[in-house]
Amino acid sequence: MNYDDLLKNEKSMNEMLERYGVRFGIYKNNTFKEQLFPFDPIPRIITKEEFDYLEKGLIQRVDALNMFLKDVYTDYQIVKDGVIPEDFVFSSKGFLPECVDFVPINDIYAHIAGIDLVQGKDGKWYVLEDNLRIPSGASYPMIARTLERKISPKTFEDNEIVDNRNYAKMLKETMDYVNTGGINVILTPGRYNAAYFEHSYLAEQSGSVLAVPSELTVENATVYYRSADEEKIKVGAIYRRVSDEYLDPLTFVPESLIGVPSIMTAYRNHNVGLINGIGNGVADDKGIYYFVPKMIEYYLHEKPILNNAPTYLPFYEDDLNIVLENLPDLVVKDVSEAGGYGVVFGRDMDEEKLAEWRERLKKEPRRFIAQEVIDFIDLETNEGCRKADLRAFVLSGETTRVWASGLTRFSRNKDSFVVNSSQGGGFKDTWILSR
Amino acid sequence: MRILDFQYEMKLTFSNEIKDQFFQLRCLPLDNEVQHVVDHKIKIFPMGIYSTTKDGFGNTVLSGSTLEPHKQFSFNVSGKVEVDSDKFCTDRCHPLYRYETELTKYTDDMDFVLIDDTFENIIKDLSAQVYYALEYKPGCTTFSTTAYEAYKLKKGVCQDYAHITLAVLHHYHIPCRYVAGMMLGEGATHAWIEAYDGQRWYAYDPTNNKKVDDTYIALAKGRDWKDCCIDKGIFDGKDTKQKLKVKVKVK
Repeated sequence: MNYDDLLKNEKSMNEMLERYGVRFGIYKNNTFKEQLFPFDPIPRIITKEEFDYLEKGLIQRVDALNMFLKDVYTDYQIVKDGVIPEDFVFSSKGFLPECVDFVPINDIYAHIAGIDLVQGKDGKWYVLEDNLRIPSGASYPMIARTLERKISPKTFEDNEIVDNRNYAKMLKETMDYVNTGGINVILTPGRYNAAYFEHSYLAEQSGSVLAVPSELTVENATVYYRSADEEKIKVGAIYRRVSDEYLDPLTFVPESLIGVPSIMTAYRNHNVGLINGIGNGVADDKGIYYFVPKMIEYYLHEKPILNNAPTYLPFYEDDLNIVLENLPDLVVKDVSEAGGYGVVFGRDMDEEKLAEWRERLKKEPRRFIAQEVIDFIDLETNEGCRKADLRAFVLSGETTRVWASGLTRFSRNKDSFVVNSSQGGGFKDTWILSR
Repeated sequence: MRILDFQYEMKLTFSNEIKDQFFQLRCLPLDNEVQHVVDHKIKIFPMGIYSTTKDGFGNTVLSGSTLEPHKQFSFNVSGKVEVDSDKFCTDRCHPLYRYETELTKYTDDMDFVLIDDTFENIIKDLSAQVYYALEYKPGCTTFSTTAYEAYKLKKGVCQDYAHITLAVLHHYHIPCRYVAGMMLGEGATHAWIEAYDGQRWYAYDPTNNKKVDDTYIALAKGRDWKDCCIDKGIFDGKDTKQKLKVKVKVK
């Protein structure tokens, strides 16, 4: 593989990314700050063979997750059959009673899934997390590749890399598949959202209208877009980047200023397609993660292709005992937290802290999971070798497809395993080889 | 069996002109084994558009909007319901009815016991215990008062009687739910509970210490008051004060 051209142009790449406004906002101490998302020019390379394997595994996983969502919101057969304890479904914060007995258009709940994977030093891939609510990040590799091609078209002629410029088209097809007759809209909370760059970029690329909540209105259980000249246009599908609890002030948090009143009525009447569906949080919390391989066997009668990281559920007494005994070697995660928060490593604890955590796990077993720390491979970066993960994007429409690309995030801190962009990580391009 | 005439009227008066008002109402009687809506009429003032959908608990939700500027808003639903309380609801008991909510949390100092008797008598007796433990007094609790807070006060209204009863039932692992509705006579809306014996739902009214009979009309069911919110709305209007008047009449 030859990417010398890209190495030589690292500085101008990052300058261009800055000029295009590739950044994400974070709130720290109550002030909004925008950060650049540092780009590293050395691509992550995934062979065709490896990608074929990942693709099969990801499709299988997301299909099972969509089936699970439909099941728990209708007959909850998987609970009745004792495969998943009732508690993990119905007392989960992500299970929304407002969605009971409702099935979205074409049975799809997670139209866009972001599955976070790492590759262990043993060469095996492990799924670390499923993100089925509003997984962000596809725009970064999209724009990075576009700029790379601009800087060095030759690199992409010399190397046999799968063209990844089809994401916007895949997104549009996914929206069209649940569109009820009307325009496609990307709903953004607004300029001060962490992923505003992505919202506007995806709207432009997919030919959707970028709307803020006040531009949408519901009449007669139908959603309309009110344009600047007060013209009313029917909306058929919304890729909404507003989270469930703020989406409809009449159904969820009443104080929400970024919601669209009565949008739930339009959704429940199948008058608008919402991407992703509402209530997906029950399928992607860290407690349910433990059961995903069981789900695959239950719904698809297949062996899971992808591995979960070895996980223990303190909820089960046997698991709790293993966790208490091996705590220094494990990582403990708070089930309800995301974005790299609520993650603690046993190896960083002193005796006092370990004792404290053991008590906590005994007292609140349902709240945590514990995992073995996967020694995942380092990727070469211009700053040295760093831990990295891969967010794969799986889109469910007429068929389930994996985007031949992904977001490779790396930790900028030499000793850290936490790669989240909210925690200061960087990203690099992901090359899927075409042969 | 009995046929009841009902009327639910809600009137909102605003201190200034408001616009873009959105509302969500659960004031249409339920149709089930115990009660059947023979006929109904809906009137909205000023003209608004609305549509209906089911919520996750199977309640009918009317949601709509009045976008034009206005200072008064009223909603009137009337009709006839056939009630037969000798029958029971036998709809599915969703697992959600086995979990307490913020409003129906049990605390150890709640001093109630379940007697050892038939299911019906257990519920009857518990309702009586709650009835005698509280003093009916409007105005000392609000919509967000929890079972525990009302229990400490030893005072409350129908909502509080229902929440406390539900908290105790949850503590003893009896699936149960909150019912919002109306009762024969004139006044406000009412609330009571239903408990599930594995096959049927038993309806009891702890506020009046009696079995729910042919004088009750159910509007919505859920885990607690929040799930059964009869009227909810938002509007665009800065510093606007609103006055709400609800009138219920059942004949």
